Amino acid sequence: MLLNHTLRLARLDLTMLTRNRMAFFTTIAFPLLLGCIALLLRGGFVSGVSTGLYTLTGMLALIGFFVTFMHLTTLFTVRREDLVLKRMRGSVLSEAAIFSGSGLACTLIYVLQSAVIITLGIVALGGHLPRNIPLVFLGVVLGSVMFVPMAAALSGFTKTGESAQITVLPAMLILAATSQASFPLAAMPEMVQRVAAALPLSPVVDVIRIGYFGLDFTQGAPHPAVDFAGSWVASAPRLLLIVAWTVVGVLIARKHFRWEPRNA
Amino acid sequence: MVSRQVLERRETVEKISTSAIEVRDLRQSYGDFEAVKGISFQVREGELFALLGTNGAGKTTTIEILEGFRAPTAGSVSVLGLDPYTKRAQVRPHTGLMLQEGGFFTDLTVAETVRFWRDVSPRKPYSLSEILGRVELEEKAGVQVRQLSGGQKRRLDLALATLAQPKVLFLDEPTTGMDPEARRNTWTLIQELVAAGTTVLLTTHYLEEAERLADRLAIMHNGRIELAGTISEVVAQRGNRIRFKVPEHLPVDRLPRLEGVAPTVEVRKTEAHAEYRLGADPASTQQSLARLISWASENSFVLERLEVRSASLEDVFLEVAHAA
Repeated sequence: MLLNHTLRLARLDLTMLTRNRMAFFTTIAFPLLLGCIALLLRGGFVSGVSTGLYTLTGMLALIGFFVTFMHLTTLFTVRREDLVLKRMRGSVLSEAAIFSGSGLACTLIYVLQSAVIITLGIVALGGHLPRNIPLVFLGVVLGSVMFVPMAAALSGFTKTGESAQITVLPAMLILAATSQASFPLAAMPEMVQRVAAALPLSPVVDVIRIGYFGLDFTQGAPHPAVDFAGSWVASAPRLLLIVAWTVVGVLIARKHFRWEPRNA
Repeated sequence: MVSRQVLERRETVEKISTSAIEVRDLRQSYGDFEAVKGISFQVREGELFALLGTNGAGKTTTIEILEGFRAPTAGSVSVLGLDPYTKRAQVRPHTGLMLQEGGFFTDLTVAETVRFWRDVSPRKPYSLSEILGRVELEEKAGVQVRQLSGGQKRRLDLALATLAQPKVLFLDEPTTGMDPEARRNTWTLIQELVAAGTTVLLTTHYLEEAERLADRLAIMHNGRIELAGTISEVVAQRGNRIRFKVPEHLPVDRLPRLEGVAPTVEVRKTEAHAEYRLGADPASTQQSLARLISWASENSFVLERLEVRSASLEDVFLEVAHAA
């Protein structure tokens, strides 16, 4: 039942992505655009790898923010205000199915986007397949899953679909700047680096880079090379951090997620 | 003796017949505001029960607690013997509900909407075209939900609420915004569902709707049930009325008292109308009428627009709404 409902809801969400311009832009067009920015960076090296691929792998993590977090914050808010969430909750659909359905649709899109961007990297930047494909896949999926409860939580503080862009903005600026998705923080004071590394998007960036390059990005540059098994070991603490943030997201969402509009 | 036996028998029957919905001492507060102030009622299986009331009477709060959207502040409710809030998963497959408004995926077409809710439903007794046909929306199958009129959205809502053949159906103002024909068709559909054994709890502003559909009803006002019972019970408690135009030049205080009751006089434009609110006993109403007519004949008055009738649901409703 849960699985059937989740799959059916995911299919519904995918149908609706093509009907809504804003949703299409957030989940399809804009992430692709971000991926293409990396293609413009052909020369030079950052942190021991080519600038283009460094940015490309960073964007692989950052687009999850848009595809899952930003999109779902808007979607949950709009559906709450339209009383769709209320209707869903009054139906046979369980709360778990409602969240996993929408989460699954976003995650599918995110995985596809990642495959496209990695392919673009191979074609245009002389990139390669990830050294550890399952690890990159896991990083993408866990990153997406983490953003589902976070989006639910933030939607609790968001009044309308339009204002979602405003409530999402601070998180976007902080996470984009601290995650090393587009530039390294090696020159920053130790304390700043530690705090930045603990924020939610940073472990996603690290896991994807470790998996893609086969280099341990949790160590300072030049990052030591790791083999297939070593890349799992190097990623383990970062994967746990993603899971921890997911739990935090669930706790905040439990307290602040709203099924009905405030003034209903 | 006989009547006593009958009474006892009736009580036993009522105890045996199972309640699909039970509400006991229900209270619901929002902050300092108490929207529902301790109400109790039961809806038996296969019965249509209507909750009437002015805006803000507490109807929607009550129905939404029964639908399981929130836990009551105090008191208890059960639907099919279960708590609809804590036992969501067990209750939901057997209930259908129509919200007061909205809740549609407006980007989907009518057919896509029905198909989705049919797909996730535990029972699929009807095909897509049957579901649309019942509410006469076949021609709108390909239209986006956002383009439907208010009344068409209500019909789509009713189609969704009933597509899984629920045992208990909650209808929150189901015909608001419908044109008279659609309203009549909706009533027919609701009557068919009740005839097939569905238990229905309905809220409405339309007294005609309650009169037409309800087996029993309750009139709510300011969070309390002021009156409850079958329509004839509710109306009977309010007695009969005699009404006429007060003859010109007759001082109002010279009108006789009937059954010891003075009339209430209402002035419309330049005409004064007197109304006696009498007891429910037809024999004494008849006597009062005879007295009134002989009084008029003795004084050579002609009573224009004379009418005698039992109280209507509307009278009762307005009395309750304006009392307090």
